[in-house]
Amino acid sequence: MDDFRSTEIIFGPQHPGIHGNFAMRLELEGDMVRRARLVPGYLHRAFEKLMERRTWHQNIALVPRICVPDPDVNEAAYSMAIENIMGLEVPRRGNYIRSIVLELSRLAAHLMGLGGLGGAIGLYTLPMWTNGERDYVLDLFEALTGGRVYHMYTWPGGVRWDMPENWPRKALKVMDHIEAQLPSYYSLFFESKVTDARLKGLAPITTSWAVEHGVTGPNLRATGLEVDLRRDDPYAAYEELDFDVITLKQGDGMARALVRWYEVGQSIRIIRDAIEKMPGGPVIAKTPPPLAFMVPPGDHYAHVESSKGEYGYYVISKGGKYPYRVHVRGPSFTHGIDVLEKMLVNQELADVALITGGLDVCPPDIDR
Amino acid sequence: MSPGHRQVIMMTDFVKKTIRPFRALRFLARKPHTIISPHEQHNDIEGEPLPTERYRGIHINDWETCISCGLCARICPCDAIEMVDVEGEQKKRPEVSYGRCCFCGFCEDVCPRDSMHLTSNYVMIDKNSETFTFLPENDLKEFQKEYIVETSQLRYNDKDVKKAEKEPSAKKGGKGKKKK
Amino acid sequence: MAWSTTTWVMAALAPIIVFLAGHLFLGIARKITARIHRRRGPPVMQQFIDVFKLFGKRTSTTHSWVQDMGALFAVIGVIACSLFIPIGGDPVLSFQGDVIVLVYLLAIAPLGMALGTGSTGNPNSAIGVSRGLMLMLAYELPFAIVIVTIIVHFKTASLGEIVEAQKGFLDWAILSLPLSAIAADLSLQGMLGEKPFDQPVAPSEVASGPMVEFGGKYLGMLMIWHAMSVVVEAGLFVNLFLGGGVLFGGGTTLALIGNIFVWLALTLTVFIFSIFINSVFGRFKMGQALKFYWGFPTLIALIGLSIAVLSNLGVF
Repeated sequence: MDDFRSTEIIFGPQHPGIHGNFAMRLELEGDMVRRARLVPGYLHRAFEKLMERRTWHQNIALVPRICVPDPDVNEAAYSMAIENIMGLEVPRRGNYIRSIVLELSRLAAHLMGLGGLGGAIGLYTLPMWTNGERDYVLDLFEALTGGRVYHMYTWPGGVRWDMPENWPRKALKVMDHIEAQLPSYYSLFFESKVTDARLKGLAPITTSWAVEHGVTGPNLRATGLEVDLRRDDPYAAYEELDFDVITLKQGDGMARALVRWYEVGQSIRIIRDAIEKMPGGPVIAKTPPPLAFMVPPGDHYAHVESSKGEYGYYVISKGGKYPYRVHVRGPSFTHGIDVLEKMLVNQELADVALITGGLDVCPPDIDR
Repeated sequence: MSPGHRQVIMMTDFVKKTIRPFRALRFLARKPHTIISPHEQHNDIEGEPLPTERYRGIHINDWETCISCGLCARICPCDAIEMVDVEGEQKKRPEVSYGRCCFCGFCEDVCPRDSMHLTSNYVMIDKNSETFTFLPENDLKEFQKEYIVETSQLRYNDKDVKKAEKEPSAKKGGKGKKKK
Repeated sequence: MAWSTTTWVMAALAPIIVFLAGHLFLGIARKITARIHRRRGPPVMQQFIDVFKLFGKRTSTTHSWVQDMGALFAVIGVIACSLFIPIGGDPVLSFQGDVIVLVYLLAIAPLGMALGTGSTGNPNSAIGVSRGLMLMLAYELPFAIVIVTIIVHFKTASLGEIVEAQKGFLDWAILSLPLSAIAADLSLQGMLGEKPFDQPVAPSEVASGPMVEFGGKYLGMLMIWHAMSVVVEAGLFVNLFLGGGVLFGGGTTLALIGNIFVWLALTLTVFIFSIFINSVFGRFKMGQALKFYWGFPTLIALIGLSIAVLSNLGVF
């Protein structure tokens, strides 16, 4: 490229528009991005290697750190892989609680993601509201699991503890509260001429392009393809719960944001349904104590539908106390490196933060 | 749809989408959802104080029931717990380093005699970093009380604060006095 | 031209009033924005605290003397502007055509900032400055038409006389020229740099743009410039359309002080209205902002101008 015509901007990691701890090198011609190069690595902690030197249970404390806004999918997918290798059957009540925790986590992540979109176009009212509501979800997590952000609650064989007695009532109250707030978000963000101008037609992708590049989750559903692991390959208690798979056709920034907004409603519906149908019984299967926990040789790929896309854990065991190898398939790696690099080309500088936020990229998951 | 009709729809859409966001202004008259920490108490949706009982904070360890099996040290994913010799005690006791602890609560889970517990106290303030490694005992020890702020003490109201400001360093330990 | 004692006092007081009011207004604006955000917000005096803190800091880097001059330029430009604005109906500098001088002077302070940031070599600042100048081009067009409308309507180009002509409540230009008032208010939004027109300082796009290389005293100076320009620009709107706050006649000192407070209250109202728009809308892209300003506001400004011209000619 002609050096006299282009400006290079280092976008991040210290930039208010970047969604976490990674950087982009943008080659600009005027206001247009001609080439984008992603520079990950600021958060690399070698999770997959660390997991080989920790026992099966110790890893539970490690995996949620792979995706900060949506940590529970890690614990769930990792536990599911182990259960599958061992042939453990999770009690029904354990599965229901898992579903609730996963949906709460999705709810919190989507609220944060929507707030990020508001921040990217300078509408700071939205992140302040959504993060305020997210705090009630964190309060619920605290009462249930003892942790606000990293819960370490899902455990091979079930969940660590049963719910406190008053917890379902509190959860329903929080759901009512969040549902009552959703129209305010809609009228502020989606019923606004400025948001229309910014998001409609922003970086549209087609279904075939998205499938080719490994786009999953809400971003794929925004292109019109009806895929949802919760329905297609049910795990936890999703088979018995009522919910709709939200799809929109346009595949642009507006569709990606709207899918998330509708999924907040669906999460609330699932949580209410699960609390209503909650069966009794134990929450965790009979397993050997954590320090004598051995997994027989075998391997399994367990995947869950996270708030960002398909989240998978491929676990290999050669028998013994430690996993032989764990591989994490995170959605943000595909969305954040390959897809983003291609989507940013020929977009304006003003839209860079918005596209990144619209894809809901989670940097700790890129680096791992 | 006639072109005129479409234009009417576009106009109403424009007006609607210009006016609707102003609904946010009604929050001017409502109570904010943040609190003035620590002057106000952090409550959950039902008005119950936080943190809850399950909150995983600083450890306590009942030395009467602790059999010093060392399971907590073995399960600890962060290597934060070490079994150390204590003067006047025959058994080794777990020592927790809070620079490492990730508050997962696994030590509490594996404890066979149920002696190790994580309390809901989480505020530790001290200038000396060595104080953050200590042996958890039955209750918070005297010297720890200087820098571990018990959660119940965080919940004071404005009157208490003003009172405390009027009587400087009356309640503070020896360290606070020497500062100036 | 011999100045009276009141004029001398006002010449000394005008920048101080504008300085104090500006920071107070920004503090109130922060509180109001926080309330819409459902936060509690910082104390009203937070802006003063911030500025004094910044002036207490030592400057770690400066790029060249041009940068020093740029920040100074911005502050001096806005102080000069404050002398032209009739505060409480009493302009310090008043002559035929001072509206036009003021419009030019208003552009000096942003140019000073452009000068200062241009020398820092940060691409974010460069993009921010170019956006700022482009935005100026955008909002100046409807605003210039509005100024011409006002001159035609009141048949004078002196701010003092324009304020004088709006003595009674029914003479306010906002009632006789409502379309121009809307156009002026929309231009004011861009002038103040509030959303949806804050592209020059957009944090998530250009990392606060021009301010990115300024710290310590420089940032303090830019904050003073911003606070003062808020009062000058919102005050200009008050003088043009809301009668300049002249409530008490008689020309006594007491009446003048009363008028100053009325003027400040009106200015605050105009600014808070702009803050309301700021907190419920996102940010346009640069091209969209240009398109917006050269569309609707320019159109209604032109209609307002033609109405003013026709009524002057005696058609209505």
